[in-house]
Amino acid sequence: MAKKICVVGYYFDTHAIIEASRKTRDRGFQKFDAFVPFPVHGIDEALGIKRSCLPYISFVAGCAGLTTAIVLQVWTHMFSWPMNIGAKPILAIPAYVPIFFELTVLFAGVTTAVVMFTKFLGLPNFSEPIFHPDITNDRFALAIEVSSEAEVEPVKRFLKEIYAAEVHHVEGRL
Amino acid sequence: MSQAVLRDEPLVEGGKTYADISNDVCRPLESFPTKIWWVAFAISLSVMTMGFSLIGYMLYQGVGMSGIRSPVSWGMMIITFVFWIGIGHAGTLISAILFLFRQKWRTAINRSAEAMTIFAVMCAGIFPLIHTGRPWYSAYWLFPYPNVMGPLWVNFRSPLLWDVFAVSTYLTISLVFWYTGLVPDLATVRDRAKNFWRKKFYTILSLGWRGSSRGWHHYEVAYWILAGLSTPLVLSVHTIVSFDFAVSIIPGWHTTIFPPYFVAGAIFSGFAMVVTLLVIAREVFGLKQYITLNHLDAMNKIILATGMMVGLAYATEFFIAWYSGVPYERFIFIQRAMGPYAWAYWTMVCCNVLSPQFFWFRACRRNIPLMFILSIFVNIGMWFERFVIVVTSLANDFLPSSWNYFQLSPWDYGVLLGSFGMFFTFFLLFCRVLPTISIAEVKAVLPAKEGEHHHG
Repeated sequence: MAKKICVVGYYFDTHAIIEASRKTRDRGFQKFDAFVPFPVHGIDEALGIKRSCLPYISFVAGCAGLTTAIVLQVWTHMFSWPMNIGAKPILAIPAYVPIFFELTVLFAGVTTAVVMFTKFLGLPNFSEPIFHPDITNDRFALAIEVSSEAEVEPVKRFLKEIYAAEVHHVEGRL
Repeated sequence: MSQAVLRDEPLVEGGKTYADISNDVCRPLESFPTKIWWVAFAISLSVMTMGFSLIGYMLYQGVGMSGIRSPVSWGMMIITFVFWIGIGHAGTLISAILFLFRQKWRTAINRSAEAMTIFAVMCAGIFPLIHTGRPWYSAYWLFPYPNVMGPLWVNFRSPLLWDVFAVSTYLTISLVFWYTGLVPDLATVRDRAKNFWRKKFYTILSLGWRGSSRGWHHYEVAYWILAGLSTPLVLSVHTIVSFDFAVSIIPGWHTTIFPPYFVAGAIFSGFAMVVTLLVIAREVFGLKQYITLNHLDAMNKIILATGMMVGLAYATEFFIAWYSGVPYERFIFIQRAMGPYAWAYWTMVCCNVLSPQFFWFRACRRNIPLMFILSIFVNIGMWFERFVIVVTSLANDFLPSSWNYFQLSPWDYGVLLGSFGMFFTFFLLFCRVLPTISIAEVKAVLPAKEGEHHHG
C-alpha cells in the first residue's frame, strides 16, 4: 500500500470550516474531508457529499425481516406443528401481524446501525491517525490526503491561503 | 409545544462555548465520585442484591411465595412488568418522536432518558421470567427455538408471544439507538482521557470515531432512520402489552380502548420518571445550565397532557361499560370504584388525574420540589393503575365461589423494591461511565457565532 499523507488545517468556527471546504472543493481536490465535533449544518453541500444510500439498505433489511416473520409463522403453524388451539384458524394472518411488524423493525434497525458503522464509516478502525484531540471538542479540521512528500508543501500553502489557523501533516489516510 | 417559552430563552444557559460543554458534561466522569453518589450507590446496590436474593429463594421454593392465588394468577409480577415497560416509553418518545418533530430541547435530556428506557426494560424483562417459575426453560417457552422435543414451537397466535417479540425488539433497538448516539461522545471522552486504561476503554467503545464529515452524513441519515423506526415501535410495544389484556375475554380487559390508553399511560409515567431522575441528576452533577427549567417545564406540560388523556380513558371505560349493557362489564367497573379495591382505584385517580392538575400553572411547572413530589405521585398512581386493571378483573371472575381478595406477599414487596434498586444502580453507574448529556447534539443547537469569520 502506497504511503499516504494527510495535510490538516484547523479552524475554530463553523462558518470558517464551511468556507474552507467549499474553496477546497472548488480548487479541484478529490481526497479531502472535514473533521468536526458535531454535524455542521451546510457542510455536506460545501464538501460535495452525495446523498447517502443507507435508506435503501434499511428498506431491503426491513423486507428481509418481514419475509422472515412470514415464513417463520406460516411454516411453523401450517407445516411443522399444526395445532388447534381454541379452534382458532391455523393460518391466522391478523394474529401474525404484530410479529410481522416487530421483526421488520428489528432487522431494519439493527442492519442500519451495523452497516452504517462498519461499511459506510469503516469502523471499528483504530489504526488511522486522530489529527488532534480537540476535533471531538471544539476544533474543526480540514484534511487533504496526498500520496507523496512533494505534494505536502503546496497543499500546506493552499490551506494557509484559505485561512487555516494552524497547519500540519501526518502520515495516514483520511 | 414549548415554542413560546423557548423562543425567548436559550436552550443552554450561561453563554457556554463548545469546550465548556465538553468540560461540563465530562466532569462527573473524570473526577472521583462524590459522597452522595457513593451513599446512593451503596443503598441501590444493597436493595438490588436483596431483590435478587429474594428472587433466587422464590425460584427455589416456587412462585407460590408470591401473592398469586387463584383466580388472581397475574399478581405483582405482571403489574410490575407493565409498570416498568411503561416507564421506558418516555425515553424513546424523547429520543425518537421529539427528534422527528424537531423539538430541539430534547438534546439535553435524550441521553439520560434513553438510558432510563434501557434500564426500565431490563427491569421489566425480569418479571415475566420469574412469573414462569422456571426461567431456565424460557428459551423454548418464549422464543421459536429449534429443539429436539419433536416439532415443538411457540404459539404465534398468542398475545403473550407477541409481547416477547415486542419487548425484545424494543430492548434491542433502544440499545442500538442509544449506542449510535453515544459513539461521537465516547470519542470526546476518549480524546480527553489522560490515563492509559481509561483511554483504551473509551477508544474501544468509540470504535475509533474521528468525526469525519462524510461519516457524519451517513451517521445522521442512520439516526433519522432509527428514529423513524423507533417511533412506531414504541407505540407498538405498549399496544402489544395491552393486547395481553384486550385480546382476552375477561370483563374489564376486553376493550378496544386499551392500546391508546396504555400508550398514553406509559408516556405519562415515563415522563414522571424522567422528571424524578433529572431533578436529582442536574443537582448532583451540576448540569442546571443544560437541563434548564424550560426543559422541566416542557416535560411537565407533557405530563399534564398525558395525565388528562389517561383521565379521559378512565371515564370512557366507565361510560362504555354502562353503554355496552353487558352485566359482567358493568359489575367489574362498579367493583373497581366501590368494591374491595376501591382504595386502589381512588389512589390511582388522585395520583394520575388530580395531582398533575397543578401543572396548569406556570409557577407550579417551574417549582422543583413540587414537580419532584408530583412525579413520584404519578409513578405511584401508574403502578396502581396496573394493579387495578390486573387485580379487579381477575379477583371477581365469573364464578362467585372462586372469588378471592388479592394481597401482595412480603416477597412481592421485596422483589418490587429490588427492581427499583436495580434500576437506580444501573442509572448511577451510567452517570459515572457515560456522558449523561449528548455533547455533540448540544453543541449543534448552540447558536452559531454570527459574523465571526476567522481570517488567519
